[in-house]
Amino acid sequence: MTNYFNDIQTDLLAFPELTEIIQLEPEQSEQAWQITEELDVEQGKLQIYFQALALVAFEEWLKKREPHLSVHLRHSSLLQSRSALAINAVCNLQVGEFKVCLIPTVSFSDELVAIPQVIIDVPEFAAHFYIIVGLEDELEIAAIRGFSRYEELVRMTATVPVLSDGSYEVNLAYFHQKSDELLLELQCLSPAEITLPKALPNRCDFLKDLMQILTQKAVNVGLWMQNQLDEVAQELSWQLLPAPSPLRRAKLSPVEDLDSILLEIDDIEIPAVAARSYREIELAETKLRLYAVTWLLPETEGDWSLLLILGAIPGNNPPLGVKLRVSDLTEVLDEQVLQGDSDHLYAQIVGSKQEKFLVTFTSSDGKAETSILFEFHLERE
Amino acid sequence: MKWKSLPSKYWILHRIGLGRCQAEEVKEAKEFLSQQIPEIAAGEEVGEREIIGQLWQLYQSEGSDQLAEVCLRCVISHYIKEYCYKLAEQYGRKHNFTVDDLLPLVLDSTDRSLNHGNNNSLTIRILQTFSLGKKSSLSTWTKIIVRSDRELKRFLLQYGLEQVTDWLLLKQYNSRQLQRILSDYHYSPAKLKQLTKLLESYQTVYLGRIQAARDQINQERQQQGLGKVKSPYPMPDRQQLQQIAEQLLPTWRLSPEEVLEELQNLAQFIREYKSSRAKGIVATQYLGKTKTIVPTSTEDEEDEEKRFLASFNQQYDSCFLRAVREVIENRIQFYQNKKKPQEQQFLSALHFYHCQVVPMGEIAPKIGLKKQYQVSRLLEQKEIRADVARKTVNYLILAIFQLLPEEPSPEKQSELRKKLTPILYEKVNAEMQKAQKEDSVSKNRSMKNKLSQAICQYLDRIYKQS
Repeated sequence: MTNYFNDIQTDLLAFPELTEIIQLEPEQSEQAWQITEELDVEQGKLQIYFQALALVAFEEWLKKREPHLSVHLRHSSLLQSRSALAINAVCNLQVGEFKVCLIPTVSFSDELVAIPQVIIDVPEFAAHFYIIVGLEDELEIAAIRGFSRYEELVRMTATVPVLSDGSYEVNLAYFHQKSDELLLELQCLSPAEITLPKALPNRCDFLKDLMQILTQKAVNVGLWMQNQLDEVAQELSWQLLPAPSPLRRAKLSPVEDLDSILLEIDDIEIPAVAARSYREIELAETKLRLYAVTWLLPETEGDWSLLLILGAIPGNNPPLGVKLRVSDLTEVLDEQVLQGDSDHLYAQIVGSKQEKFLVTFTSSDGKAETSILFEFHLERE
Repeated sequence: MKWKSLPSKYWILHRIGLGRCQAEEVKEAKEFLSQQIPEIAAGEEVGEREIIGQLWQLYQSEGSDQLAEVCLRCVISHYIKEYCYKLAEQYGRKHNFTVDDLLPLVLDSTDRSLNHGNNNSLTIRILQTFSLGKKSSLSTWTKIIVRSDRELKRFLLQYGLEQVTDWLLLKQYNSRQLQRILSDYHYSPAKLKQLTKLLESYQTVYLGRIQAARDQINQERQQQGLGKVKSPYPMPDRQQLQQIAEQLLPTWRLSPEEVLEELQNLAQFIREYKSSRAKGIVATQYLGKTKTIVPTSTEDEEDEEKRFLASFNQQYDSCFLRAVREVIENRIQFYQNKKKPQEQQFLSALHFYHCQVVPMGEIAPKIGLKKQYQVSRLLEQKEIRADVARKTVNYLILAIFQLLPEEPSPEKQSELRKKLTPILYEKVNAEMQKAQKEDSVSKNRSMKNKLSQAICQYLDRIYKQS
């Protein structure tokens, strides 16, 4: 019983009283459970269950308070395993003519709310209204803790740093607290009064990449500078290469191969301290070789560069038609196809401390695809 | 603690009757106590632990005397009361509640039927789950069960108090967030991986428990209609700790006891992180809190507004009545669509409250509810007032648009809406404040406000129709 003492000794934490409690019936928890179960997810399921609870609670609240406003969730991020896992919020709900995003929180006394960066900065997920929903799953109750319009949230987060998990932390006090005002705005404002950034057409590739950036583990290329490979790099069979040396002359070794390729790339200046590495990639049953060279940029602290070179394993024909794509959190930065006039595809990435880049290789028929996420930290995280 | 006089807490039962806490002396229990523990009657000092230990043995022994149970119930009711007093003393003033609000939530009722057989009785639950051991005390156990009681937790949440247990902390973050937090503290990659796995395993096991609870409820529902949701103490039991231990293999080899310890350490880490972060961020964050949509009007515009107001004053009543009707109809529909429809209860509650002016506490038994707070949850005065106000304002605005010589363009409409909304709200809210004032009077209420009258008018009509 001593183990319980922690729980009775802690003080109760104070927060503004809940003006309105949304009571969930067992059927609604059941419904949230069903939504969760329908997604093919192993790890991270609890977070999805909370998203689903926030959704059913919000629907229940609207049904009672303003039944004329209906919620459509056809495009909701909660209905796809990938987006539900990648973004801890229920995005792209349609309420009347508005796009609404629900942000579930599991404690009522926690003043800091984690807001995923993408739900503000990526137009496909941006919303007219962001609503913070507090949940107590065991008591089956929920409450609207606050809400904010798009431009208000943009202003709130403008000076707040993005944390390493891709979220902002914002104090709840900056949100509107009265849920009655939300009902009023949903009823009386017109969507035209809240300007959302325009979603660009044909961004399927980017959105696919984005989900990967948010959920995949990154290879930390910063460690290569100290001749180390992190766990992710080891899993992906990266091999570090020694720096070039005029003494070594093994024929067609990766070192030599890379040296000769780098000789052809004369528009990029690579410092002598750059770290080199390579691995093999299989795309549609063809084995390819990917070289990577990384180094720190002297101008700004923490800025780094990564040069990627994709080609055939020496002795084979160049993999014509293979595509390379580089994306970050906001867009596709670079896209290239291997044409007949060269043997290699190459791309250079320049990033800052917190940035991650997803590099995707696609086979010429577009059927096979493989992605690697890169980041750069000099220490182990 | 030693007692010199005959301690009354073993033979005075605290229960709720007619909405108040009543203390009842159980003579038989008093006699029983002095028979069983004659030292007490002789005025000797006997420790609380010893008395409870003896009572507990009598209660557990076969063919046990019911009076041992009565004594234990008495002392549990004493502990419950004591704990409620402590809560009210510590938090009541700041959060606007008194001990009288707490007691009905957790003490048994004098009316046995209201204790749901024994399902609803906290005292019984405490008796059933307590186990006497070297380290355990009935008073602590009572506190633990009372503090994790659903109704009490719900009440405290409503009044802005949250019990942040280790188990709540372990639900709050997903593994990505945990890694972010841990990385600030320079944990080794191996440790980071272990702790992430620990959190993930706890959450998986927790989900398994939700699922098991759901299955059980569904089963009970099939057998006996509506099942009651139980809220077990959120701490994982031995079997669940064992499951977590298995999931941690092969990277981390722990016994179930060590798993529990590691979980509590992790929770403690999160607790400390949160309190340090909360302090830091307040100082650094952007401070420009934004205003709501409604801009304040300038003097020039006021004339224009006055003209508007004059022309629709006559519209006001019809808009208000329409809003009331719609809000009540929406609610009726809402309660009709519940799995266990409640619209009749809702309508009766409205009628008793607004038309017959029956005090809230007396309405409960009339409509088949057990407690007063259930009636107030059903009536939801505040939300109904807000909904009526909002709808009235909307109808008034539409009425104004129709009064204009020509239909305003969408831009003009939106501009007018912004201008008119605060003015109209002010007017409607004045009415709502009257209603609120009358609501807050518990005795000798008079329901002369427009809202109550409109509700009664509406109810009269539908009762006549049916």
